[in-house]
Amino acid sequence: MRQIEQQVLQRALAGDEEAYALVVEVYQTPVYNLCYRMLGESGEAEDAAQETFWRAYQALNRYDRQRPFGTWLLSIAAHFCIDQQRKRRLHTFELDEVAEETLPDPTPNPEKVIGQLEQERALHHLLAGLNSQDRAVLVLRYWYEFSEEEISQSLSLTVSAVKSRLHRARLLLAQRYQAAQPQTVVGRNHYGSPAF
Amino acid sequence: MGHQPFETWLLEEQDLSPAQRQELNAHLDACPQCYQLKESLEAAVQMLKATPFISPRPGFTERWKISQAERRSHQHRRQTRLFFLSSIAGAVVCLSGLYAILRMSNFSIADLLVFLARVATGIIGFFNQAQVFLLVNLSSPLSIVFWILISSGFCLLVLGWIYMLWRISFRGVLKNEKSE
Repeated sequence: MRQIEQQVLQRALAGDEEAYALVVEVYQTPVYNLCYRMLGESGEAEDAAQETFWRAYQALNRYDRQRPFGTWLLSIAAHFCIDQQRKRRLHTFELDEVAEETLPDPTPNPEKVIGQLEQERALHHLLAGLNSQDRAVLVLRYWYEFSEEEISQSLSLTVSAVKSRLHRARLLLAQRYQAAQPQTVVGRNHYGSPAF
Repeated sequence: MGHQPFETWLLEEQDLSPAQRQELNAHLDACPQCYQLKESLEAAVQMLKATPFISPRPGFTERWKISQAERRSHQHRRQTRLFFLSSIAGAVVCLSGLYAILRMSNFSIADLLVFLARVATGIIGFFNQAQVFLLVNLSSPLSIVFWILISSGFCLLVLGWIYMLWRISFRGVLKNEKSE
């Protein structure tokens, strides 16, 4: 995740709107990506990302300068997305809504685009079975490489709760992956694993 | 076959000692279920880590600026509504309280009107006496300057009060913004 210059951040915290627009420019991708992974739909992710930046703007005077700014922003985004999902009580994604425009690299190479689409669909399928907090824990752990302590701070959970949610989420993730690919995984000779 | 503690070791990303690792390997060789769990977990995590970040559509910052202006305007409108509604509610509460007091005591509306008229007459009388006192005690050129100063000061105070009400009502209390 890109870090913003301290000088720009100081100006934004002092109320400079142009500096805050730079903050939005720098953090738009990590915030949007988190919202997209949490909500699974590009329109909702855009709204959630805009709402995150507005909430952060409103709460700038409460920002703890000891904390990394990006972590604080992602914490706001994660809380908002969890609330949104609780309101909707929607725990599944619409797989058909994985549109080409959401792909990270929309180059005209058709094979690459199809490959990315397949990967996105598979990913959506994996995340679909998780509840909102487990999904947030997983996204922060593997996309943003947060430690368990950072996740606990971001989601206002205890470290043991984070561990327990990670455990549950990883188990579900493995089960869903296994279920999606029965032939390729079941048929393999497990003695040939290079990892062990 | 028991899968513990091997399943927990696989799912909790623990740093294993060499002895534990050897034990886990032996179990994985013997237990297809745990082996499959390990393989699936590794592949799924690899997929998560390999998927790049998705960016919003181009122009996100511009849309943010527009959205910020709209939200601020909405916030000010809400503050205005809140200000007027709370003023009306306050007035209703005061009048209701007054009405309740009148109902409970043997103080009639007519008595209240007489009382208010007396207070108004008293205030007017006080100002008349103050005017006479000032006119008698100050020389005439000084009194004109004095009255102009007093009137101007009073007008400025009233204008300041009106401006303050307008600012609170229509522009709201500025937060994290440069003075505009």
